[in-house]
Amino acid sequence: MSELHRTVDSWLREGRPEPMSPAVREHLDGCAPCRAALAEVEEVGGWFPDPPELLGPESVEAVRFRLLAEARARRDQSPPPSEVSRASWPRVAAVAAAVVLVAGAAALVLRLMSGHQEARGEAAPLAVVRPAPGAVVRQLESPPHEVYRLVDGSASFSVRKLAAGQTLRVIVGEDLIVVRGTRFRLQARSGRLEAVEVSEGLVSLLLGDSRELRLAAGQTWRRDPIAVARRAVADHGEEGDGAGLDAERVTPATEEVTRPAVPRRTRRPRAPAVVDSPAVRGPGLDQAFHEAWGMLRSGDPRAAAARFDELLRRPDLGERRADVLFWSARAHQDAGQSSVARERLGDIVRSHPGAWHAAEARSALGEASAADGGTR
Amino acid sequence: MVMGEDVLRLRSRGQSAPPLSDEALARACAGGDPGAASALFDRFRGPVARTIYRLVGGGSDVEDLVQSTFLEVARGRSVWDDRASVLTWLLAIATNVVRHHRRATGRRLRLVSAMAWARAEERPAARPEARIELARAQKALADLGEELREAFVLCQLEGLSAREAAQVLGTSEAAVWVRVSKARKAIRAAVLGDEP
Repeated sequence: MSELHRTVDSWLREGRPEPMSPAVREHLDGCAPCRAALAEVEEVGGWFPDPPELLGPESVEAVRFRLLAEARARRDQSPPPSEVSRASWPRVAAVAAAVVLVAGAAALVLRLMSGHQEARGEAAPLAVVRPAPGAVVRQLESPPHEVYRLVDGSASFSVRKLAAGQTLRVIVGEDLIVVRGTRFRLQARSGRLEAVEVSEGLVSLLLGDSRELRLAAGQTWRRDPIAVARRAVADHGEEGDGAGLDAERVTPATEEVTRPAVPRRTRRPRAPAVVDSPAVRGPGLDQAFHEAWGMLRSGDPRAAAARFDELLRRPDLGERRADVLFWSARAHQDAGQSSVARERLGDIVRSHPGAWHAAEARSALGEASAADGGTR
Repeated sequence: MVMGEDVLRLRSRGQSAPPLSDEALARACAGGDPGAASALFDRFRGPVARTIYRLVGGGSDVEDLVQSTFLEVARGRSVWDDRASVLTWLLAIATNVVRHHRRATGRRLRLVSAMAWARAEERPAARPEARIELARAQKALADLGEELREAFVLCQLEGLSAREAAQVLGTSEAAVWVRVSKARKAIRAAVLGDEP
């Protein structure tokens, strides 16, 4: 290879910063050996084109969740999650995703894992996992720090008593649960945690917004989309406590779970909210749904209601019809068309009794009746 | 301090990333901010993955190694100090992760490198000669010793200065530059059939 003079060699050593300095340019213009040497350097570099995208979207998402879970585990190492955080609700009540962490010793002994270097596959599993038909559960790590990811559907986890240093985690999205040997069932949909039912032991649920809930045996946590919707519409654009709306339900009530009272707020025009809307899939459905949702959250419930009603006439809604019915009800309710809203909710209860929104529809119908009774 | 979880929330709303500097993110990681490692991953996964890919010669381990690199950060095992840039710090972690991995799976990696070489020959290129050059270059890189390969990848392919590469590799700037030069000569010789 040709020899380089100091000026060009220094520039190369510095990583060829751009723009090239006048001194280097001037030297190259007048020095054929240096030009030849630089050409050789560039030729070698040309034999190594950049590789294509190395991490697909799914991989990126998986790594993100893992990092978040690990960082939270690190944060939670010292104090056990023994009380409910009173941190204010984030504005993104519907930020889907939850990371569920099941750990021995209630996070007292969460030892950090060592990734790919861990011994795998030899120790007995810490949990017996029974996915329901159609559920998607993936095992990401083996003992002593077993990690599962529940992608969709429901699955029961029977965790044996964990020894010190053993942890078991289930990643669903962005929230988090901490457990000692226990039995519990998780329900997820499209990567979003919907429900946690604890049949034995104690579970700490660390939500993506940093709040922590403790669930004892017999308790169930369920995300409440009605409250999420209320929050989306009622809470946006106001600087306030943000903590007043109950976006999920824990039954039966427990002292370990602190739920602030639900304030009644006067609604007023607000800027577009920033809340994830539920997914509705199908050709063109997503776009239409999100347009309608955008109208609702930007304070135009009448237009939103009309748009949701248009969607309802589509023959390809399938099981997503319940979603559309629900938000149509919401839009009509906000537009002051309570009777139509009730019709929609009734339709959910009748036509989609097993749908995610059915329980909420029943509840909303009950609330609506109570409200009617109160105003008469 | 701007919390990393705020970073995550903003991202989840589809808003543009807040104007956090690399250094602020790295400090947030050191402070145990849960979302900061994930935000760093988003910002630096490209160069880190590319460097790892080149150091291991491709293969399916790249994703695991990238994850391991950022897990070191999330777990607080490696904490950024202001002696080097954040990218340099991350590449130093990645290089160490690859070294450990190579030692653990040396035999298999050689096979992976050979396969990467074979794949390079299959890649479409404007000229058949270029395809052959590409394949030879990949094989030559895989055949380099660890020290030469690391210096070459960091300086020649990733554009680090010799000083930054020296920080990554824990050696002197002069040593790095000698390695880069040797690696370049060896690769040219392998590709063009020159005498090294």
